[in-house]
Parts: sequence; structure tokens; C-alpha cells
Amino acid sequence: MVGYAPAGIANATELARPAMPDYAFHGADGNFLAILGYIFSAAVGATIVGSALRVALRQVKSPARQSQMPLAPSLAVPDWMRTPNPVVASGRAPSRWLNQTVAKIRRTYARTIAFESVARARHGVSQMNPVAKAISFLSLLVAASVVRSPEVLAAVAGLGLVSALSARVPLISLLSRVVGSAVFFGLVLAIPVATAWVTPGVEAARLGEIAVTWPGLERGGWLLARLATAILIASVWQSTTRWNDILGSLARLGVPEIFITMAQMTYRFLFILLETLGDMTQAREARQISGYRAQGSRAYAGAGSAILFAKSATTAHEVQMAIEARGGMAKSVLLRDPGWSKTDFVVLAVCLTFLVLSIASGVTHAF
Amino acid sequence: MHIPDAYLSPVTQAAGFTVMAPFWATAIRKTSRELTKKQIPLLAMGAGFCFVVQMFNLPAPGGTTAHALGIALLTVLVGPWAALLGMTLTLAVQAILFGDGGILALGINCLNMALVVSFSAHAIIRAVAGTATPGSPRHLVAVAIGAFAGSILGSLSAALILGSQPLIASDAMGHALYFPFGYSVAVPAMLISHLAVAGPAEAVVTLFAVAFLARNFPEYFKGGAERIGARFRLSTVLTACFVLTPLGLMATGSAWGEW
Repeated sequence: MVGYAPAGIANATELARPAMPDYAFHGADGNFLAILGYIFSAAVGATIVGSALRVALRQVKSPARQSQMPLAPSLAVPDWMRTPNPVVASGRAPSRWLNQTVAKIRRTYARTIAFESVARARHGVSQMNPVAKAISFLSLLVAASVVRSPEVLAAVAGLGLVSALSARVPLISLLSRVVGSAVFFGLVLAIPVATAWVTPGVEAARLGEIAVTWPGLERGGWLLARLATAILIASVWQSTTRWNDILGSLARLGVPEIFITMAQMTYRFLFILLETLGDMTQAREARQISGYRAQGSRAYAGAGSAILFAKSATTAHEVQMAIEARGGMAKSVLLRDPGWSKTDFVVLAVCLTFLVLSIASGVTHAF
Repeated sequence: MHIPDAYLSPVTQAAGFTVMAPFWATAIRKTSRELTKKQIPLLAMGAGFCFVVQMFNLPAPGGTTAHALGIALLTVLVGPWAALLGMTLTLAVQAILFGDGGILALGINCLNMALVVSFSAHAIIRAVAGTATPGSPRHLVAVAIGAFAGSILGSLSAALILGSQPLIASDAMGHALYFPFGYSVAVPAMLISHLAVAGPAEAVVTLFAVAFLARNFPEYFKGGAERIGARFRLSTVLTACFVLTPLGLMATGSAWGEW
């Protein structure tokens, strides 16, 4: 393909002498011998791969065999508790990664629960009819997605901010969430797009080899602005509406009830699971002096998720028994309809106007 | 693999919901018919489980992060249709509550992460494992291969959809309005991170979890009724390909600069 063999490769052929060069015997020039050679090498290769796999599988099996856990709690101290844990000192410093992830998880749901209290306070947008709000915010999202003129996009974002202010959403945490997500998801694309390699044009700035162009900056800016607006609107919707009300409005918009019931349960289970996971990792950290070897971490990732799943299934079973004890699943209370007020109609009309404006801006820019 | 809202054109987002609608309907129909009351909490719990597994971001090449999805495990335990529904729940909660993945992009995200991953993983596991008992070496190898391949195919599907965006929506200057890179960038970027990090993570998590559950909680693998639609056929796969074909047409329509 290249037309020549690079000198390094051409010289390197004699460095390594394979036992069976080109999958054939030495001196196998006849057709029959060559075919035999191929078959023989295939058999040898398969044997090597097969035995490697056997050894690998034995590695997988052996530790699990020792940790036969009793299913039901018993008063006797089980065997695995009597034997002292081997000291696993790998000489590495403990990895911060797991702790940081768990801390992040706990922060995330603490914030989510905090926003739930904002939605309960019922100021401004929070007291809108959930269905009217769902349609309004979904149409704003579509507007942010189709809009082609910067002014309309800014207006859509402004509307999102005004509704957040009216509901007294803590502005700093809202903005840090929006900017953080937009930077996290957007800069990966926006930075390369702004460079001259991707978007050629008039140079705006140059840093060594890297040149940034004006059209590139415009494209990158659009990407970030659109992303930030979409995240802002979704965040304001979420933080001014209780999860049950979001689900209720989705049910009214035609999402099947079994899905809504499960979504309602998922929301409750989620925090229990996250807390369980936090406890599991904390317990593991407490037992450990030094860092884990890579193999130990991998084994923990698998066994940990299996235990987590088993715990989930046990909880699910308990929930099921509780439901049956109460005489079956209660009809969902989500579907209560507080009725539409004048404000609901006004906000909905404003949002739909923005949607139409955005579509119009797309049409005028396209031609 | 969670695609945010601003990366996809409205046409693609609408197409995502259109393609997913029949699958969701079938999944709900099958689930409410075959799933006993007992499994509704189990499925909700499964969705929560996927969510928690996905919170563990592993650093991937290029400064991005990748994570296991947990859906391959769900597929092994409850079957592809119920897993599709469980994963949809996870993605919906993530999009609405935590801003992870777009709300309008939910259809496409479900297509990549729920539909493609669960069904391809299921088909591969079934093909490789045959009638092997759960927890046997052959079954475990099948599970690892299926989870890995499912993850790769899901990322490939996401990359193809992202890569088609410059062809679908560009302004008068020929500049893309949404995801700005074509296939030549999107496919390698997604595949490298998934071949190197997310795919192996998915395989390892699923392999160890299935091995552990088969040894300690074998009752999860008994009672075939629990695995919804576990006996889906080749015709289902072909139908799925047939339904997905318009996506390909949409992408190639402007491949030669007709727009």
C-alpha cells in the first residue's frame, strides 16, 4: 500500500525468529504441505488460547469458592468470619478515586433532595399546573433545539432564568450546575471546533501551532450556548417541579401507567441504593490499609455490583411483600389535577410563542 | 454515551422517539403480560442498579470518561425486553432529574444504550452459551463476550448517529449546526474509549456479577418465565434492522453534498 517497506520494518524481519514463520513449516513450499502447515498452526493456536482461557477461568472461580455466604442470617459465627483477613498491603497509596466518586454521588442526591424542597415551597413557576408546565418547558426545549438566531436563543434562556427567579431557585447553585455541565459536555467539542484545523477562516488568536478562527469561535459559541440553554431549561423544570408531579404530567400526556409506577418506585429505590453503595465503599475503605492491586479492584467491581444487585433484589422482594400485605398496589395518586389558572394559560402562551419564533428564525436563516 | 440535547438535530431527536415507540410499546405489553406483580419492584430496582453502576466514571483516552452501563447484567437476569424498559427508566431519571443526557435526546439515547446493547448482548450470549448452565465456564465466557460486544455496538450506533449530524443539519456556509464532526472523528473517538475502557468495564462487571449470582443466588437463573422474551427470534432482529433502515437513508441522503 505504501509502495515501499520502511527501513525499520525491512531490517527488523531478522530480529524475531518465530517458531513457525508465516504459519507454515520451514521449507514447506509444496501446496499440500502448506495446507497441512496452516491446519497444524491453527490447532497449536487454538490449544494455546484454550489453555490460557482455562487458566484464566480457574482464576475467576477459585476465590468465589471460598466465600460461600449463608443466605439467611444465623446466630452462629460463620467460618469466613473466624479466619482472619490476610493483610493485603500492595505498597500503593490508597486510591482517592473511589472515595471521590462516592462523595460525588452523595453530593448529587443531597442537591436533588434540596431542590425538591424548593419545588414544595410553591412560589412562581412552582405553583403552575404540572401539565401546563410540562408542555411549556418541553416547548422551550424544542425552541432551544431549533433556534437559529442568537437573539431568540438569548430570550429563551432569559425566560428560563426569569422562571427560576420567580420560583426562588437558589441561583448560584443553579448556575454552577448549568455552567458546569455545559463546560463538561461542551468544551470537548467547542475547543477543537474553534481551531483553524476544523473551521478555517480569519484568525482571531494564535498560540504556537494552534490558531483560533472567528467562524470557529462562532460555531463553538453556538454549541455551548445551545447546550447551556437546554440544560438551564431542563434544570429549572426539574428544580421547580416535584418528581411525582413530573410523572403525573407525563401520565396525562399519554405515558403508560405501568411505566409511571415503575418510575415512581425507581426514584425511591435510587436513594436507598446510593446510600447502600456509599456504606459499602466506606466499609471497604475502613478495612483497608494500603491501596488495592488492579486485580483486586476489578474483582471488587464485579463482586460489589453483584452484591449490590442482590441487595436490590432483596429490597424489591420486601417492597413486594409490603404491597401484598396492604392488599395490592394502590391506584396511583399522581393523577390529581389542580385545575388550570389564568397564569398557566399565559405562561403556556408565552412559551408556545417562543417556540414559533424559534422555528421561524430557523426558516428565515435556512434560506 | 449519554448524548446531550444540543448535539442532535431536531429531526434526529424526533426520529429517535419514532423508532423507539414500537419497541417501548412491545416491551410494556410483554412486560405487563409476562411480568408478575413481583417483578415490577424488581425492574424498578434494576433501573436503580443501572443508575448506580453508571455513576462510576472511569477516565478514558482524550480527557473524556466512560462507564459501564449495567444493562448486560439486567439482560442476563430479566431478559432483553424487561432490560430495555429498565434501562429506559434509568435514562429518563438521568435526563430529567440529573441532567445527564438530553430530554429530547432520550429517544436516541434509549436506542443506543437500551435497545442496541440489550438485544445484541442477549443474541450473542445465547449464541455462544447455547444450553450451558448459568455460571458454567462456557456461560461466563459468553456473558463476557456478549457484554463487551453489546457495549461496543451501542457506542458504534451512537457514533454513527452523531457522525451523521453534519450531513443532516448545516447552515448556508456548510457549517454543522449540531454535532460538528463527521464519521471520521466520531466513530474512532467513541470506539477507542469503548474498546479500551467502557467495553472491558462492562464485560468485567457483568462477568463477575453473573459468576457471583450463579454461585450464591442460583434462583435468579431458574424459572425461564422471569426472563421476558428470552426466546426472541432472528425475525425480530431482522424486523429491528428493517425499522432502523430510515436512519441510514437519512444519513446518506446528503452524503454527496446534495444539500
